[in-house]
Amino acid sequence: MEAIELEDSFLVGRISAGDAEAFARFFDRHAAAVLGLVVRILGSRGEAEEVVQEVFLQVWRQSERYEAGRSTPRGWLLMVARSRALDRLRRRDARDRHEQEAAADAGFPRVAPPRGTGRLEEAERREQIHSALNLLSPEQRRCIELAFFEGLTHTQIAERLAAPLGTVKSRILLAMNKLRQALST
Amino acid sequence: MTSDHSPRHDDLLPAYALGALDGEELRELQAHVETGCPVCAAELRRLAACVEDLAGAAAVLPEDLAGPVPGTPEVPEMLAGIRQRLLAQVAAEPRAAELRAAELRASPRPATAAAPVPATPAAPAAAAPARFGRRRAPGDPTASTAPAAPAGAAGRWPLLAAAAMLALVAVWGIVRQASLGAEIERLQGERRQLAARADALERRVTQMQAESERLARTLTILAAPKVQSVSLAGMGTTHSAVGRTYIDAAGRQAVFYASNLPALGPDKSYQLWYLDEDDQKTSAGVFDVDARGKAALVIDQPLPLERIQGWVVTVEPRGGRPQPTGPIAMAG
Repeated sequence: MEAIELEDSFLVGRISAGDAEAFARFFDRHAAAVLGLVVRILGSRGEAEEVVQEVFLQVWRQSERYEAGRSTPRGWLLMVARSRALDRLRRRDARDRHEQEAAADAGFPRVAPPRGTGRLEEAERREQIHSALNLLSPEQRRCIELAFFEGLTHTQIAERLAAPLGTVKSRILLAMNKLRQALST
Repeated sequence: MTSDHSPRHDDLLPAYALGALDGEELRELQAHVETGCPVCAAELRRLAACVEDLAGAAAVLPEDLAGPVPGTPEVPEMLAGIRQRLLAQVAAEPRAAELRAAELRASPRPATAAAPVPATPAAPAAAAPARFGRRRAPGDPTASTAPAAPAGAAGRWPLLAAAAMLALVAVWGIVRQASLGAEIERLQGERRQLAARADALERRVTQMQAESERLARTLTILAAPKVQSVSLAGMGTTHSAVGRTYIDAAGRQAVFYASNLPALGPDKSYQLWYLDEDDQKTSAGVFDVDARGKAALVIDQPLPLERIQGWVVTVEPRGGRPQPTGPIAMAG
């Protein structure tokens, strides 16, 4: 286990015990990443601010839901952030279909952020993920992005892309298997 | 009761992990996963890690938003603002676990909720360590105690008590921050120690593997159909030492055993040589003796059996020499 994960696990444990300092420290370590993810999903900074606050509040209230064996604290946090941001996106879509178009450009960064942003282990892992994403065909990548950033299902992706459902299903299956293989090392 | 895992489930799992499954397929897979299928559980863990990696890759501010945007606060100020609001909210809100604990404390004897009334300003000092960081919300039964204290007699007392309490809490906060840092450092130290121990164990395993390989080869040599054996005797100060080489004539492998050899200093080793008909000495390996004066050496090189005229052991500088330089300890 990396030192970073060890410290994060420790902090999550302290948060469960009601330790506000540990909570502040956990926020300082990951807030920028959470903001980055939420902005990518929502496409706007104003709403993102509220969602980041909700995400960390959920961490504070439900840190005992974190299962150490299942993921890293950061991975768990980012999944909470994604799901909160997608909830917001769906509510917004119900209100206003126009905004959906604005968010339609959401995707993974086309270039890996330069080294020196963030911690070394994270930067290395990000580069690994970038090369894994580059293994995908543009169509496969688009399907994964629509599912990941907009929370669309098979059927919705097929509608959006005007592609046959079977094609979308197999693109997602192949893409996920490629990513899993490339990232399992 | 688990339903049988089928390849169809394998095909549905990736989309399920991504949240892209819907309709009948979603219901079908969910029902199957909920039966506790271990194949799906393991695969979903791997896929979830993959989706988390995707989240990690996406968790970077988009290039056009990373810089300042007119009319909006820059990212550091924005985060500082969120942080401030969160900490205020967190301070005002007990965590769910604490609420439960508070309920448990309160329910058997409702009177205890009002019990820890600080009689003197010093009392909160004892309570503070256990309670610090826990928010004194309006609903928290212990929160209402301080203001509820002596109201009439000395009107200033509750104020003083509250001020003292605040001061204590602030000091405690600083101490806590330091102790949190120290605890993290301690855990990291522990982690380094554990890593060192794991390394040591790994080295030990490697040693044991080498040892067992050596024993296996020794056995092969000893059990070979044609084994030639030469005995060596100690010389001079090591006259009580005895040794023997066993050579498998067919495989040309050999092993050497010695006992009653004195241990050498840390800068010296024993070295085994064979002599050919021209009296040339060729090294057959370097060895040390164990605490009981015993040594074993598997000779890792092809031996020109027909040319070997004899064997000697010399004392050499640690690691051995290309040609003997030290005194002869054994010969045969």
